Amino acid sequence: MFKKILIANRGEIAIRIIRACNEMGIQTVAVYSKADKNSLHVKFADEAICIGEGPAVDSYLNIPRIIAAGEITNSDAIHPGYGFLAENANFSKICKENGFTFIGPDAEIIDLMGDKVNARNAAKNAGVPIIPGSNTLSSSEELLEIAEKIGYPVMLKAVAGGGGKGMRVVNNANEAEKGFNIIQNEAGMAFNNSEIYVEKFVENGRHIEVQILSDKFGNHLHLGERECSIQRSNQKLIEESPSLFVDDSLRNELTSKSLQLAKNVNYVGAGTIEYLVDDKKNFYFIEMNTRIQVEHTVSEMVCMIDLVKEQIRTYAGIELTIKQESIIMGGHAIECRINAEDPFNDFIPSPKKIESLNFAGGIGVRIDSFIYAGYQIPTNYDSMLGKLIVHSSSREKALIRMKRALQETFIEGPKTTLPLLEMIFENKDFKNGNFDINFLGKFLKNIKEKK
Amino acid sequence: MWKDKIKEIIYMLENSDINEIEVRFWFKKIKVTKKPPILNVDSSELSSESLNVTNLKKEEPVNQNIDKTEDTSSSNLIEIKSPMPGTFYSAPDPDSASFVNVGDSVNAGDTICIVEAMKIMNEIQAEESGTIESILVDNSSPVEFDQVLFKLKPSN
Repeated sequence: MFKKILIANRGEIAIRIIRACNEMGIQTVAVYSKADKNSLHVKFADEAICIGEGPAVDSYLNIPRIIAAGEITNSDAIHPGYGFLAENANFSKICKENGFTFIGPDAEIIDLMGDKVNARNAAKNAGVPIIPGSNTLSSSEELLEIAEKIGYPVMLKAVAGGGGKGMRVVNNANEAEKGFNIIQNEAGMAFNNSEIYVEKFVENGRHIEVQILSDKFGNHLHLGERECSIQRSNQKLIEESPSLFVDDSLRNELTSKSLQLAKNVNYVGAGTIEYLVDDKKNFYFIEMNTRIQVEHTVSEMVCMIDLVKEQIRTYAGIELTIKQESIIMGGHAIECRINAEDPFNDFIPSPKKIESLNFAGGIGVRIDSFIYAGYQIPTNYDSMLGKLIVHSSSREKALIRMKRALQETFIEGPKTTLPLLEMIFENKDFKNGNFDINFLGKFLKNIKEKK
Repeated sequence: MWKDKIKEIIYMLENSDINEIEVRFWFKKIKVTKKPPILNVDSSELSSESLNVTNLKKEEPVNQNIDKTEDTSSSNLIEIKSPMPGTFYSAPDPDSASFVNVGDSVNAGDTICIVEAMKIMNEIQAEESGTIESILVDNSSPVEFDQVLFKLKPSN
């Protein structure tokens, strides 16, 4: 087992990892930027090393400085968390070359899954259904030909894309012809790779994903599914497990196909395979995330497994002792993301000082956060302040518990997503599980129109 | 949420014959009266949690004063900081003499130490000419980004 892990991240996920290490008896090293001098991860870790200025390129994205911090602290592994360098194949490689275990997959797997066309083909080879589409497009003529075959509307996507960038829906040949060059240019600028491909646009789908846990001995487990349809511009807001929409036969299909894909690529560690599921319960591969995800907590709550600890163990080369039969999805868990954004004003970030706050407590309530009264939210990073998670024996009871927990929670200073969350938990369609990925967009539009 | 509560109280007050409402909400007590001042959050009536905050605030000016006195005494010294995390070396190799010692005069551009990161020896140069007033780091010890390595007294 590792003696000391350096955490190349900040915020709630850095604390999540420090907590896991703490309970496992592993020493921790926090790295931080000057803007994060007063952040909680700096105080919770056994050691803390300042690595640069506030902007992430000078600190949390600066590979040489993170490696140097690992060297001067004699760390033996580096945990990237999510975001920043978590899916950077080059970072995985450099960690290895410098004698650190990267707590994430090898560069080859990150590269394979980071390239959308390669990932589609890997999924196809594993028997995972993919959205009808193309390989990398060579010309706008090829695009028109394929779009005609699969039928409009279609979505143009960057091969190296992600996070909702480098995507465009086109409704006809005219738009497609124009969009080809625009998206190619956009992709070139955003990802330094102007390759694009095309997929059929699935309008009314649900975003459902499967949590995978694999070790170096070829054991692959799944922790069931997560329902993440409540999102806006590909930013998730509410996640739950299990999904009300997924019945036993769909779950069987989703999880067995996901395990096959994990097996085919020799996956190690914690990973997530994302799907779009249409109203007829047809499902299509979107992408695989080769890291721990923000919403891993809901799977932890229902399966009673500490995913971060298991992830660390698998990379330490320890065989999984959990058996698939013993993983039972018990009850229902829901997670709400609390962001420092004004939900009623186009989600403008609100990086203010936290004047005072109270987090919910009591049975079945979990808070993964890093803020405290008096904390000045830095302007340089993501606006997520924390996650409020509840667990109960059924979805109905979990909904009631979340409502209570939201009532108990207040954050003074910045504008947050809390009031919006309270409104969503009052909504009948949401409560009945009657929603898809367009729900939040429509919900926000309705609020705007009423005002 | 907090502001919503105040709005709610004001609304209740406006629609009643009462002249004054006092509410306890979490750690705070708000008193709202109809006659000016309309809104009055009385700090002297705050509970103990809030009092701690006021105590902390009182300390701040003291710290600032200390900083200022330090500033004036050392205002003519230049701090040379580490541009990266790494290992500090005062000499080019273990058998050689140190680049500089306290009291040495240096010219702008002179190498005064090495910070090693990822097996790369990064030579750190003096930004200005002057005299080394103090060396704050021991040879071969780890340094952080922005950590002060030397204090230099500029020659002019």
